[in-house]
Amino acid sequence: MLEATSKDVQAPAGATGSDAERPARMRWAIVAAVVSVAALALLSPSYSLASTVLIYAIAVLGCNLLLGYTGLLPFGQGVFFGVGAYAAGLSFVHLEFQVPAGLAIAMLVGMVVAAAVGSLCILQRGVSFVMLTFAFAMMFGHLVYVFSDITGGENGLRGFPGMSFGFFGSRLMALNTSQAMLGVIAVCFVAVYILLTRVVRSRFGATLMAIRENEDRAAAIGYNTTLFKLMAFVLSGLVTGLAGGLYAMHLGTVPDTALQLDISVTILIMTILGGTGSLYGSFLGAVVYLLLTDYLSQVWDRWQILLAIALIAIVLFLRGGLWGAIEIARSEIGHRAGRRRRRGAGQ
Amino acid sequence: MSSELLLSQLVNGLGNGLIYFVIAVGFTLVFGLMNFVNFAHGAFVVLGAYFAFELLEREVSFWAALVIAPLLVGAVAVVVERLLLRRLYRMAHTYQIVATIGLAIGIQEVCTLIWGPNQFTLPAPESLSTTIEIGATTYPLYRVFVVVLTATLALGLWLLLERTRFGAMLRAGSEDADMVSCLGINIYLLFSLTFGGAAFLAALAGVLSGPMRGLSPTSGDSFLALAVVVIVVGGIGSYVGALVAALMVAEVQSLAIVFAPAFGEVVIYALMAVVLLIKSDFIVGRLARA
Repeated sequence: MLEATSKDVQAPAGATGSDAERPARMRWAIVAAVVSVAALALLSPSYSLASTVLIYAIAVLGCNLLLGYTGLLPFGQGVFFGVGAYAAGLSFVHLEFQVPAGLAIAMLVGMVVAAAVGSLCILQRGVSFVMLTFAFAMMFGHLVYVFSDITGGENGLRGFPGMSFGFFGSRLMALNTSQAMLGVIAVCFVAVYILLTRVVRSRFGATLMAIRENEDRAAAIGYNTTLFKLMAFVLSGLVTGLAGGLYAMHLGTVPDTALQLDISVTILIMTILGGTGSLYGSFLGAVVYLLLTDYLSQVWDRWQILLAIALIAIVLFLRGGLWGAIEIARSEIGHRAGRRRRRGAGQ
Repeated sequence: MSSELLLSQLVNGLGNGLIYFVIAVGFTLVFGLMNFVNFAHGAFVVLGAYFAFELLEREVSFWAALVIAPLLVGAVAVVVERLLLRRLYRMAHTYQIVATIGLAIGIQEVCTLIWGPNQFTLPAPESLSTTIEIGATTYPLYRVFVVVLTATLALGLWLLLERTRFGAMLRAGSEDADMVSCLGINIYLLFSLTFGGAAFLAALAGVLSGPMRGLSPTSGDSFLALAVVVIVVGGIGSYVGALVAALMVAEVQSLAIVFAPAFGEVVIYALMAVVLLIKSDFIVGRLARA
């Protein structure tokens, strides 16, 4: 009985806390992000792999905003990733843009495409919505080859200059080492993590969660749910576009696979694997997926069979993903500690 | 551009459209009856083609393979439905989609493991490997056969749905599965049969496509995409909608190949977007108010 009441009093995860509590919790989010990035950089087999993990983690955060907080299952996040990558790549190649400007272009294009695709997709709800995002992902995959004189088609976009950091033509720093690249990507990841943490704890985030729980009721209260969903889409497109821009910067080219369906599927799988209950789950999803597949793909060409089994197992047994598993473990430990305390008090 | 080319493309469109219909109708019936989203539907198409490929390698005739391969895929689908998918019916669509993506990846990878990653085509049967004259143009006999067979199949399916007890149960189940179950009909048997039938149709479409286009383990996505476009255009759960939309999508695709070859693959998505806008309240509602 005691346990039940104490649980009821606890604020649910992601809920807006009291005003005094909020800055403290924000600080914890920043600490968690920075410590995780540092640990990843130290423990990962290579800086390049750590960079890839953080790039995908950014994209997964963007996906989680839609899936976990707005209740929309997006099958086409690869579209924003891919157009971000091409936008940044083209600005590097043709306009001689440097890093912050190229990434800004990626975010802008990601946002614009998300607004366009999103406004069509949210005309439908539920399964039809998912099918539409899937169809648009397929369509953009074909567009790479339709405009192959711009995108480079199957050869990918080539001719990148050496990456550098600077503003308006003045080079401040050359990004020619993998450490420097990782630094830029890590800063972007932490920034996105903080931004989205603020967003989901804001009034806007609470409205998104209301739409997730019951869209009709949210509309009945008077929220323009279509507008809110579109805004979530645009924000997700911005974040995912940034991930695409970083991908182009990190690879020094844009392969044609950047805009294919596989990226969309991968982002979605990482999101589900990490768990949609918290933003930190997105980081976990990207880390575990990429470190495991990096290892498995060296051992067995058909490692995706294991991935298929893992996906089905998650749906059957662990719908909360890795974050859900951590929460189960945490409450289990809490219960045990509580029992021990009570036993101690009884003696 | 010659009128012969246009005519043969229009007939191509008819054949492709009927094949798209055979794929899409299974997806839409499963969704209508079981409220279940099967993103592995495209993988069943490819699996059918691979089973036929294996049968032809083992000296089985094309005609036998055309029946046996879809039956085998249907059997596989029924087993998967019994063991796995049945647990997903009461879950949110998100989880159904994720699990069936897993299933699709699994089928794709097992096909790669057994038959390799390369593209393949099926040989058309000897008796159909000729051409016939349609008006001023010559046309492959195999494609005519595909049109006749799939059109007969579409008609038979319509009769099955509208004129038989099974069809009545299926339609009633789509309205209210729980109520049908209360009437003493074994709804789970109905689910299994429908799911197996949908996989049978998908696999049949795969075998029929085999001699007309190249297939590889990863082709499942493009078949699924076609089915999705057809269903979005035609409306989910609708038999006639799927038929009309499938023919429309395929004809638009064929015309695009004549008039704007580069956009052949993209134009059907543009069609989808336009239909979506027309159907939505966004425009209709605004026009009604104006």
